[in-house]
Amino acid sequence: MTDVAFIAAAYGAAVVGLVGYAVSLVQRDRQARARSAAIEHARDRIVEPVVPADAMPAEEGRLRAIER
Amino acid sequence: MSRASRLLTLSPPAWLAWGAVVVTLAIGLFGVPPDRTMGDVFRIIYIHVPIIWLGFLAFFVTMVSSAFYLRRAELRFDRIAAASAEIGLLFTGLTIVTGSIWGKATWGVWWTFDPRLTTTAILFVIYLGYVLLRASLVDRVRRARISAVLGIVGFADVPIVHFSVLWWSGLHQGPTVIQPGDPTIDDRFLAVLLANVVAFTLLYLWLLHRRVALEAIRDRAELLLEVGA
Repeated sequence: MTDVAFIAAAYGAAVVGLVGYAVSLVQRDRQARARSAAIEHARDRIVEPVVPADAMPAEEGRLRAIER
Repeated sequence: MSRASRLLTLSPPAWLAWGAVVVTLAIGLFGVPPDRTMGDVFRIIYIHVPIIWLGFLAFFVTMVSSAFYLRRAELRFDRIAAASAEIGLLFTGLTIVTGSIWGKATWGVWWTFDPRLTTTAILFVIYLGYVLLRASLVDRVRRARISAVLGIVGFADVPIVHFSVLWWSGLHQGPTVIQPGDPTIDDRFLAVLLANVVAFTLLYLWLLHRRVALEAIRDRAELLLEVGA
């Protein structure tokens, strides 16, 4: 192998690894958002409206706490 | 939206990070003369060295965030630790691959049980274990606590990797930049190397930001499931 081939192999491997990881991050992000939205949607449909509109439900409080 | 138009909607920090990496790597490939001894193949230094330094930084961030988690029990620190460990694992893996190619070009072998190579491989396995451990634990708090301990203990291998070339004899060259006294590398090579380190640091920060955001979304989904259960 020539120097150019070694350099191309090293740079190519690194670029494929970095770009591949970045793309996987974007894809995983999209899937996680879709999953989260689906869970939230399903949850909204099964929770009975027993909490007054002006009071923060306990679970909302917990959600906010974990988002800190 | 097409792939091309999606690319154009990348955020300014993403453009900055990726742009800096492309420009500094191009300077390393075409903007400096070849090394007197190694010839052109030395240019692998501009990718091999920045990614292992950034790997060390990533594991350092994991260690510090893990310590903060154990002290304050706030999941945001666990998210940073997990995100940084995964990126560090990627960087360490790429270091081994690029180093192996460089080794074949200069030493004539893809792999040898040299102290630097062996301790780096151990580092990779430690953080691979960290990522697999996290994936195997369902309970969020237990996962955070156990992986925080591993995130702190695992970092002990980083200084061993760095000093391995001084403590034991092997094929790998000694430190040329981070060492007592002035760097032994030529100033022009050093300037381009440091520019690459800055560029890869920007890329690391962008990847970390995206990975932490992903972890936050997953945590929220897990919590929604718990609340709904």
